[in-house]
Amino acid sequence: MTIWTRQSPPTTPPEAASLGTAGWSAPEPVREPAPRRLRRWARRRPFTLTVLLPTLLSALYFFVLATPQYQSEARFLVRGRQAAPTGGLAEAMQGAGFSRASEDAMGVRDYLQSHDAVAALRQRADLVAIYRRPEADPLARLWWPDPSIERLTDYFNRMVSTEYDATSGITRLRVRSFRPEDSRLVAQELLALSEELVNRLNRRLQEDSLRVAREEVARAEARLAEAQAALTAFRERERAVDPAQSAALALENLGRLEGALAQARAEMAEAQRFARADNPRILQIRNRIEGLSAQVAEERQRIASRDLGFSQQVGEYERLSTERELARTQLASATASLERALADAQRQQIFLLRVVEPNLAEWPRYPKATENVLYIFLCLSVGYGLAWLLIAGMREHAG
Amino acid sequence: MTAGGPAAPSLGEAFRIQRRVVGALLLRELGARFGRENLGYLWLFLEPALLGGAIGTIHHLSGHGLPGGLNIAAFWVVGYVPYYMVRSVVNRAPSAIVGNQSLLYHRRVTLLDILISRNLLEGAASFGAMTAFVLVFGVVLGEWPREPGRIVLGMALMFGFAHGVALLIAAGSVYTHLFDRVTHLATYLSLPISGAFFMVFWLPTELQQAALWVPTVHCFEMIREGQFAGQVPVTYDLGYVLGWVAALNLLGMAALRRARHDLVV
Repeated sequence: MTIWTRQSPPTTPPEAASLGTAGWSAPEPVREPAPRRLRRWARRRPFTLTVLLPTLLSALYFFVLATPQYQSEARFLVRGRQAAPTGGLAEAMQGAGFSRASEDAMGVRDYLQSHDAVAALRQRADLVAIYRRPEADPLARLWWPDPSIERLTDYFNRMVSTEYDATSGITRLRVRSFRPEDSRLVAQELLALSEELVNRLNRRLQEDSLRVAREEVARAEARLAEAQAALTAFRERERAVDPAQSAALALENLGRLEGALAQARAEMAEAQRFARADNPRILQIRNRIEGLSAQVAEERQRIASRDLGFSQQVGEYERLSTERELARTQLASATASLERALADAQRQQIFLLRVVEPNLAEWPRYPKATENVLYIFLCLSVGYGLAWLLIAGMREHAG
Repeated sequence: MTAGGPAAPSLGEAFRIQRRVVGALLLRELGARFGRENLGYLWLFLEPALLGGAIGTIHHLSGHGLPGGLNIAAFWVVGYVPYYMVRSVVNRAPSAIVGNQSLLYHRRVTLLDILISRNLLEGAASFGAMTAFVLVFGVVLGEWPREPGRIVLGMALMFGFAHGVALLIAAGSVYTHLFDRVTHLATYLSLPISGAFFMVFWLPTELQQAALWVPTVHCFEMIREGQFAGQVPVTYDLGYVLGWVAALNLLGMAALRRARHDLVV
């Protein structure tokens, strides 16, 4: 048992080991020597074949064949509304001094990575031509002469990166292409597009916040005009500028007449005390009383006959003028809130500030040949190691 | 490696043998752990299901809202069950070799087989519990997973991660008992940073970047994308997790080979 447990692990790769036994046990068919030798060689050197060869090929590509790519970089700031914390945790974090990403900057970043931006960019610059320059190597360039928007967007997102740094609030835009001028052109157009987006957002935000206030003002104005029109119509219909005042006047008139009548009656009573019935003064007073009574009766009747009409008229007039007053107050307050909304909208403006203008690259930063080759080598080695361990583990069972 | 039969078996044959060995070990493990009393094998699924269900119910009743308006019970269960898998796989690793050393008298049983079978059992249990919960949420709450494939992928990567860690710990346990003592503590302390109970987008940017160093955070994000895709933003890097899983498994298997060499039965 100890002999078995002390067994040392295979020192050669398993393929090679198995080939040895297979070659031992069965006679091999006679074949052309060259392919057979090649196969044997491949079986003996799995590491060379699966790791070193691909690494060598990738090194050949990256160091010799790959077209240099120039990068243009721009940085900008998006300043705007303060993002409200969304929950207890976020609030606590904010209290602890962590800043939250600004929604607007994220919006700009998302826009720059979208098909929308690609489509807009395509109208300003010939993206397909830029990424299919004749000097570009066939692997890195855009593969299709007439790509669909999805493919173009995917490719575009590989060549253009937008990163948002929440601590500084700066968004970093990096554009790669096969010519320095192309990179700068694309970066400039992208910046212009972001500025337009921000302006669009601003307009939209203002419209949104002002629309309600404007509607309110319009409604108040309409109400006031309506009240005024109703009052005018009433005056024209009733031929009275102010029925309340005319009613008061009529009553005052009646009162004066009644006063005069009462005075005449008193004079009559006084005259009858010491004058004869045919005294001309009594006659005169009687005539006056008769005249006054007739006039009072007439006046009474006039008021009485229009009594109902009068009060109704006054009531309607009062209602209309109250309505007008209310409409006036409403208009005043609506105008005030519109002013306030205007001021708010101005305060909530979003700005895009260019911090770093796109540069013209002098030296191709990409592709990063050494890094890529090392990375490929590392990945393949890990994969090879895993496969080797798994296969070796399996072979232990077949002992 | 010495010729046992008439001819040395091919790689396919070896693979078939290993599969049978792992299958047999699985059955043995199942019987040894759960036996046939009361509910028997059902406990395999019930254990994670009960724990996950309890966590989900507690948080559902306590009624704290979640950012993004996620379903509370679904969020906690979807976070807890995969975490349970990682924890049980890793926690059971230190005792894997010591407890099964006698099995090595059978020449066809290797350390890797033992670990694979034990971990597969845990993985299957959690996967079963997860499936059950996802179905329950779908039927009862109408919260069907938006992209089931992502849940499976996330769970698989999580399993790969836990398996790699378990291999390393098991190999280490051959040399020292330290792992026996420290593993439980470590898994317990790793709960808050594992990503089981938070989402990356809740955090401020600086913490997001820190959290994304943790590979399990990516797995949890992937699983949550499967459950809630489109409802909340998720951030993960498939390549990063794959790198971790590959590296851990590579180191783990290599360490296990070395440990087998040094292990005296």
